[in-house]
Amino acid sequence: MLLSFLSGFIISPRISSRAQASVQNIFSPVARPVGAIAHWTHDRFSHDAVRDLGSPGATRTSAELIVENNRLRIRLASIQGQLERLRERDAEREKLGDVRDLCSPFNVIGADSGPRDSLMLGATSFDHVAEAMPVLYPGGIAGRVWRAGIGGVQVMLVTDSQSKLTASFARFTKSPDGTPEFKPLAADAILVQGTGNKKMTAQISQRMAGEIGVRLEDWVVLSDRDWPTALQGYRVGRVTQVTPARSPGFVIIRIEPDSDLMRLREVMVMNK
Amino acid sequence: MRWLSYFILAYLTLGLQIGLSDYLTIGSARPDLVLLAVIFIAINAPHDAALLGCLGLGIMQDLTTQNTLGLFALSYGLVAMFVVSTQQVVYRAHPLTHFSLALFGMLLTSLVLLLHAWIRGPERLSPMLMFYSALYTAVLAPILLGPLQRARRAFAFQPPRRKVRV
Repeated sequence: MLLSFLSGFIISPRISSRAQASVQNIFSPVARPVGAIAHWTHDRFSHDAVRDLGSPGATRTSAELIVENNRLRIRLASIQGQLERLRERDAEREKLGDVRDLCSPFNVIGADSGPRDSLMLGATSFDHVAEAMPVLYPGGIAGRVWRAGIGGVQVMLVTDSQSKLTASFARFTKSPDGTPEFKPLAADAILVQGTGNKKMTAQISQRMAGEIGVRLEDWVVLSDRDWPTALQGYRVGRVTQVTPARSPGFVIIRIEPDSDLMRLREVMVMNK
Repeated sequence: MRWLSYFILAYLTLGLQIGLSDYLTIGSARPDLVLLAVIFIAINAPHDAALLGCLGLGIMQDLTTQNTLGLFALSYGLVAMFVVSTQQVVYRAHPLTHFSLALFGMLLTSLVLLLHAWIRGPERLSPMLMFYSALYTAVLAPILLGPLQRARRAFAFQPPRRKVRV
């Protein structure tokens, strides 16, 4: 008990975490089947509708979606072509391009056994997974590898209270010809912190909020030099609430990821 | 106490906690199934075995959480110390006993976690959320501990030895 107290309150976590062996995979034979059953039950009986990011208020028809999809494919092909030409010209060797090529998929064993926002992956350090590697999911950035060992890997989600990153706001608008256009709202990055309740918050001045024109459903995208270049502009979440802060002249912006990160079944780790 | 049964209980409980905890969430309150195992061991096992077993459960949970190593071990050790001292005065199979011990245990665990967050940080925990989690765990206690009490034979808990004075 004395050792527990010393480890919890006196010894620095940087030292005690080395002794915190990664043993998550040991519980995988129980956690994964149980989680899969719970996930199936949740999907079977819940009525979570798929969100249409292009029209969050009202889901569009199939015809509208097909038209937009075709336009996006053409635009994507055009941008990729431009990118290839820029890459050829650029002398620096930076990692650009489709992020999926830089990632490896891993199954999720389960969530944190305590009150934190973290995931346990069915991966080990032998899978070339190391600390601080970004972790992605289809809706954007999930978090970073917190601990990687021979017994398992733990991911700290962006919604965990210890998570901090800088991001900026962006929005999809429609150009005159109907093509969706991705428009950054401000050049300055803001600090986004996890609140530990599957949410994140950012606090900015009212003046800045007015200048940016932050609205609900605006995208929050990564703008942080501590993260790989290939992830700059990658989606972190969406704005779900803007409320006045206790400090006068400031507002609190609540940001939520696209999905419940604690219920992800598979993630991609950027380990290449 | 039969340690094989203890380790099987610990393994299953931690596996369920890892796999199910988020799906059992109501609002943002998450139950602590491992604490229920701690209550079960502490209320039935002899003094030394109970303390050791509960401490072991805490250490195992520390290895599967993002929290600092030692917090759950300390929490469950304190819970075990209290519960063991009440062994002689409570009805071990009564649902109200399970509810009250689980509520107290979870509040004590929450207090340790909140103190750590306040003193050392950098994580932030919501006191109200921890309280709701404590209530939720306490409500689950009679439901889960009741059937588990019926399986206590598998653990071969030995009654405390009486001191014979000559």
